[in-house]
Amino acid sequence: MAAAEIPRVTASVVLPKTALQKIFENLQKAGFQLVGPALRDEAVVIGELDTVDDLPRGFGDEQKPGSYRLRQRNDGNWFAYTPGAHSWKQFLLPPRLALYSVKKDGKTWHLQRPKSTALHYAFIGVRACDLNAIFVQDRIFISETYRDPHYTRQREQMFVLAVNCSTASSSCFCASMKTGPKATSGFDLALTELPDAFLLEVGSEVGSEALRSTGWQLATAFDLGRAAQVLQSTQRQMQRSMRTDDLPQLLYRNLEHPRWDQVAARCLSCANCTLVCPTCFCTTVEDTSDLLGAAAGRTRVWDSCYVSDFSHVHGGNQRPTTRSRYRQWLTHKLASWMDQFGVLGCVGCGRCITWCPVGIDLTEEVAAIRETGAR
Amino acid sequence: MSTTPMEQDIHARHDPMVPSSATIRAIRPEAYGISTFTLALDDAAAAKKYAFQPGQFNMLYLPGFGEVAISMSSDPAQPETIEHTIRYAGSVTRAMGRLKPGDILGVRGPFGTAWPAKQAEGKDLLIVTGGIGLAPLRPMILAVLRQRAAFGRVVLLYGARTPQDLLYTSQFPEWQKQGVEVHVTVDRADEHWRGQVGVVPMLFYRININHSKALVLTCGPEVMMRFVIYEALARRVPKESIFVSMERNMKCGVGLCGHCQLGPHFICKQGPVLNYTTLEPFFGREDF
Amino acid sequence: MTPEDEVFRSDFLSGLTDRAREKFLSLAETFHFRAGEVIFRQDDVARYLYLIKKGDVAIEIHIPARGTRRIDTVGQGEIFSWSAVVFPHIETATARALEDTEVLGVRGDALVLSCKKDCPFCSDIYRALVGTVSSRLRATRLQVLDIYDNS
Repeated sequence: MAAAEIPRVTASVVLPKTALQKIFENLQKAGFQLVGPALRDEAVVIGELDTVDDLPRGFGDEQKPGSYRLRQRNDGNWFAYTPGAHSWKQFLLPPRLALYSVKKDGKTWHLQRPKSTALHYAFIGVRACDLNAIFVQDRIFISETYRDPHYTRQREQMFVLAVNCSTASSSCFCASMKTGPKATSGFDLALTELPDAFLLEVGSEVGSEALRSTGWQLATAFDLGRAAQVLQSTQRQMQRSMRTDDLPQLLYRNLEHPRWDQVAARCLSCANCTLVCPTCFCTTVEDTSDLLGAAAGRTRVWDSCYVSDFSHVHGGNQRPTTRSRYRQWLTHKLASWMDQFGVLGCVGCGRCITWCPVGIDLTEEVAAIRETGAR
Repeated sequence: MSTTPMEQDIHARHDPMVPSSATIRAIRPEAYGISTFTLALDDAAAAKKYAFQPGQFNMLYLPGFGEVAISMSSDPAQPETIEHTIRYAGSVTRAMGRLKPGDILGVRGPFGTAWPAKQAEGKDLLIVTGGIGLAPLRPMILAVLRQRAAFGRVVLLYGARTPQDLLYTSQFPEWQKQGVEVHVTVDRADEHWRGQVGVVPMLFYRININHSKALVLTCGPEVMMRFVIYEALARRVPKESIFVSMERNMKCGVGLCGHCQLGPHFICKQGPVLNYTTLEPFFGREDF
Repeated sequence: MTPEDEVFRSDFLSGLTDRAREKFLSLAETFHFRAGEVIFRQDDVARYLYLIKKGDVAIEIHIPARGTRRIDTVGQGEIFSWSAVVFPHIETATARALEDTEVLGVRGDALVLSCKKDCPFCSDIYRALVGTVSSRLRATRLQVLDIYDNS
């Protein structure tokens, strides 16, 4: 009886860890540009991947409010770290995107739109929190009223190899946000690391194709049990949680809570949280011109509600204080986002906690407001 | 109860982030630092398709300088030309102030929600505005006058800081002839002013309103609008009969850049015209 | 009415008959506010009519993007928040204690109810209120004239 060359969609398979290299090659042959975890500046970032040797194998991390440290592990795990500062939004919502250029010739205009910079990316190592962050941004950029051209094309062309976390950092709280640690949908392949193998769940035909000639075997009940245990262990490791059943109302009812003053005394309005947050999407436009005014360009760039003139109207800034801007960020993320997009904006990745220079923890802020706030 | 979003228009044309070119047909000074620009879209097909509802706005683009969100102030029944009354306030508008008829601007739009149309039929319209706030209401007044019989009383309560800051005063006699009750005031009179002096909300004391039949449409500085709403509520106008045009920093006009948010509302999508019941939890909240 | 209620100077109270004053004070509760504390914000429901026993209160209006402007200050013996007895009972400005302040607060609805049942009391109270509001209006008019402006 001839064995199937590729597994069917929804099947779970196991293969030796070294076989990931064959998956990489299959993807590259299919025209995908691989991006995923890499090491740079003593941190896990997202960079271009050529072979599995580019992955930070054997590394782990230690995260706490305001602190990130890379650690060497001695257990041969390939993916035993959690997201660093980078998220996948840098590809879907690039930090800089040329919109169009204009050449004036006498009284007429010639408007030119740049060629698409969307590539066929294979996102390697997407954690469940980050996968949910992409789903959140899908609701923003691929909506009934407007489809962002770059985001839409990039999204259609990408491959997702998700990784189910085998460790949680102390900043993580995806379990309470119901966004992890297991990736449940929206991936082409989802990988769980076992001590001696990778278990892969096939999410699509493209994912199935990527397993060609990798020596995969159907996962046994025992394999599935071990994988489930890995995820249960990750869930148990989580030290933080956010109660969400009373959001958004909790924040809407406490817009003048004294806690906002307290956090404002600590917040530097540095915008780190918005930069690292995988769902923050605010942008602005930059206008450029040559000296003669004959050629002009417009570029969309990342922006942050913490920037002081983000809310500039004639006469001044609508949100002139750190207090008002912190309140805006948090109430958008955990209250108005729900009214706007039908989900909360937070996926529990914990990046804002780790990368805040003064270690502000939004789970703590929300709990403090809940404790003494109006119901 | 809700105003009609014109979001479906966004897809009727090409990418709403890309401007169409328009030629300036005329520039008419209205008051110190304020002029009305008359534009005509250059592409014939785009010009034919373009239509807006009173209260909506365009993003006007000056290459090299940037964009500004400006409400249309012309008659929506004559969309071949589009008027925008602009105050020279920031770098983009000041650069626009150096343009001449024949020059080109980029236009994206129309965006945003409109003043209530269906809901206004049969009602007494109370248009209460100050300064340049009359500009986004002018299309509503003109549209109403085209179907005057479909509405009850039409009352304009309007004011500005000084007599020199009043807009469109030469058009008031014509409006009055067509059945608009016009009351004008200034905060500060000069030695020639023989009209009323006082703030716009105080004009409520000059009229009697039927609170069950009135619709209040207001646009202007937020502080003024707060007091206008107060006077309307004091006369028992229900909250759902009050409509407010809000202004916030805008970079895209399509609800994606995040700048124009007021609570959950994107002022470019759920606004600029918002019903007061929707707006109330956040309106006037300090620094929100 | 206890002797300590007489300790502070108040044109509003001294303008009332003894009977009206006693009744007014019997409806009052005492509130303390620390320096800087907000007593009520603009657009809050106006529940209490306040009379300052001790301290100083700033009346402020917030102008979006321009900041908060102090438009008036009220001190010992003066009334504020008469919106508590004027429909639609919405505070039009924010009141903030400038120093440690003690105020007497009378529930607007209780005052109106008492007034409905007791005509002489009502006429006394409203005459005193009109006097207060009239003097503030005089002051505001003078402020608006901006008499120090050269133009």
